[in-house]
Amino acid sequence: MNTSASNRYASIDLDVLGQAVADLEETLNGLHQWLPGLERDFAYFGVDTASLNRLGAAKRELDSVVPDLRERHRRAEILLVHQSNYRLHGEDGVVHFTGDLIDGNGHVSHQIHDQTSRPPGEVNQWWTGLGDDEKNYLTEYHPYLLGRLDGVPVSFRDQANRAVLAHEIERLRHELSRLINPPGLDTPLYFDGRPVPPTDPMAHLPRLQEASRLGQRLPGLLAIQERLERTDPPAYLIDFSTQGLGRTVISIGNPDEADNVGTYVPGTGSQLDERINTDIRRADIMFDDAHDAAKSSSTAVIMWLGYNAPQDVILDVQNPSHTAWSPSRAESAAPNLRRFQETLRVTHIEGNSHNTLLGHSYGTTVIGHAAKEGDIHVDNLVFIASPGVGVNHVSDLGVDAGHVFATTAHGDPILFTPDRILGTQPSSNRFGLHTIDGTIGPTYFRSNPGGHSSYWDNGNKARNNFAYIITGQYGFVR
Amino acid sequence: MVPNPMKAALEQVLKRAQRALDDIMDITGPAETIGVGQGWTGSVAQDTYDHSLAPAANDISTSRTDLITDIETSLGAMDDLVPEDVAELMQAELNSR
Amino acid sequence: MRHFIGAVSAAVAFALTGCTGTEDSFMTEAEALERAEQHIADAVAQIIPAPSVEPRRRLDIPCRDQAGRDDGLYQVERRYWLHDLPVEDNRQTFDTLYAYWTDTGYEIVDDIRDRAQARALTAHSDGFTVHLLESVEGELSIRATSPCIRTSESPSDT
Repeated sequence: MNTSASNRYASIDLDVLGQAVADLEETLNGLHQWLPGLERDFAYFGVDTASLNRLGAAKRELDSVVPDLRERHRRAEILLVHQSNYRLHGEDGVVHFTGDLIDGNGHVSHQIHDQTSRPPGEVNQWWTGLGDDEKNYLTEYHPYLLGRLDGVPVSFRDQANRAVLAHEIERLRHELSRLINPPGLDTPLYFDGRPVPPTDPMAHLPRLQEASRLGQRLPGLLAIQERLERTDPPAYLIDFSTQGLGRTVISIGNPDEADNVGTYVPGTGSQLDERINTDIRRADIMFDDAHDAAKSSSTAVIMWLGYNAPQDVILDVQNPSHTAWSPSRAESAAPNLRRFQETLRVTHIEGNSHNTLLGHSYGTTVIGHAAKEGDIHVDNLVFIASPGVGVNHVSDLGVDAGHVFATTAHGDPILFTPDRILGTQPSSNRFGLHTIDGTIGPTYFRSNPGGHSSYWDNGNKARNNFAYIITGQYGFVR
Repeated sequence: MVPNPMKAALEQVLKRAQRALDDIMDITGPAETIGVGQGWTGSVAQDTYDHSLAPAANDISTSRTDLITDIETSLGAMDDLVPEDVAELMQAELNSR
Repeated sequence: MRHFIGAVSAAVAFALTGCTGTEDSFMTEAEALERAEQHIADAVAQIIPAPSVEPRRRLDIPCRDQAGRDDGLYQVERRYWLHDLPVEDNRQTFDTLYAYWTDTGYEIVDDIRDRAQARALTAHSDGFTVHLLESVEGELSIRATSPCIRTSESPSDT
């Protein structure tokens, strides 16, 4: 946190200014109370009025400046609530801001709150109209809002999110040690502020469940932070959350500037825990592969875990509506994925990049639902090991069929998914894809069979095909 | 010769002026928290101090002493005693104010 | 710091086991790297004239079990660009390595030599995979990967 000596923004110390304004108001009241009478008396008795006139001048000056100071203090109080909400700033009772809080158009620190309900295109227009100082200020002092504001360029969201990430790691550490505080026999436990008698083990259940949940989120955050610290190539944290199973959207390379952008949607079993780095790794692999395939164009690959993936491949008997075989998670995820792809288009500089959505397993179901229900804003869809994508024929996806690809390896048990549950599998003849024969068309390409069914294995033709599709080299897909 | 009622009345004004100064406190300290101090920093704050608060503070702090001096000067120019009939006229004038 | 209480929901289990085939629980990370390097060195030694090799960043490949879930193991990877090879000799380079691998007991897994650009060749030996790839611009790269093993990136409870 900057000290005010080195801080390039204006600041208000609420206690100090509050006291000063109160003192000024007191003097001003005194001037209003006494000057009229004194002026009459001085005139009557012929006393020299030079000093009285100076007091009159001071009164007029204060009349014009003190109400504005009071208003600035009031706005600073509101700003303190915002800035100290996440305990990133403002703990010393000092707020920082660009320009003047009394601003005809509304100060940017208030404007940003209005942006959260607007579509990405409008947010981007607002952002473009800000000065550099204002952009840097919002990034530094409002990172929680800025980091997840669709329409703000990725590089700024990344800067904001890195600060939030460091803060969340500390917050989770404190929260965990609070929750796990080992009880002594005589020490009452507290949960939500209420003491819990040690003899009631079931009462600890919510506390311990939350500790367990946070115990998985924290290593996930550390894994993200570790990748962000490596810079060859740089990664950009576009979005994340620690609620529920967590949300992570991280890009290898900057999608706002790249010629090609691939978005990888992982499937079953993915969540924000210590294994998140395997999904990030696949994005890194596809990044390098794309640059191997086409060195002269630039590519970014995004890992989008912006939904609650089913955690069991198998039937979840406790929650049948939330089984891996249910479309409900895909249905709730679909609008978020569409919005994310729309946002990529909005923030990309100078025209459109060549965009591809690749899904694995249930990730393909999410993509299919997103595509069939609205504009998906991409050039290509790739379904990898799909159990079904929510439609029974490629023509129902609303995407140019020539740009839909699918692959499933022999030996991948996903092939056993019944059609009725998530839709006809793209690998099925009934779905309407043609196997590769060198022509452009809705395309099913083979993967190498193998014990792992791993489409990113070294030498798996699927892996090379992903790179060709992402970089638009369709003619090389085999 | 009797005491000058005008002078007595002006002495009352002096007392009121002294009470007024209790309520019209010097604002140099509060003003300096703005621009130069930590209450509000930055270029707008500095301008506000330079163009509004510093001049007002200066006016107030110089006038606080001059105010009393001005009244005392006028008092000094008045006779302490006046003839009785002049005092009656003065008093009638003061009463009709 | 994990699993204080048992799982809240019971799951119906298929008979799913861990990795099959190309997992090796006894190989160390150092041994895997060394052997991957050896496969590459052996292959590069067959290419005449000798190319210069430029190392790439290491991207170990996360492994999955039969159900498609990450199992915490990784295939260790080594990867290099091959420089100073004229593009018109690429077909010959592919043929050379195809012959070498076939002669030395590798299994050819994938053979995409039958086109003028973006050729590829993949060979297996003893759990290791070697892949020669031609970029669309004609540059050659070679990759070797190990079986799935525990590495320094594997989670603590793998």
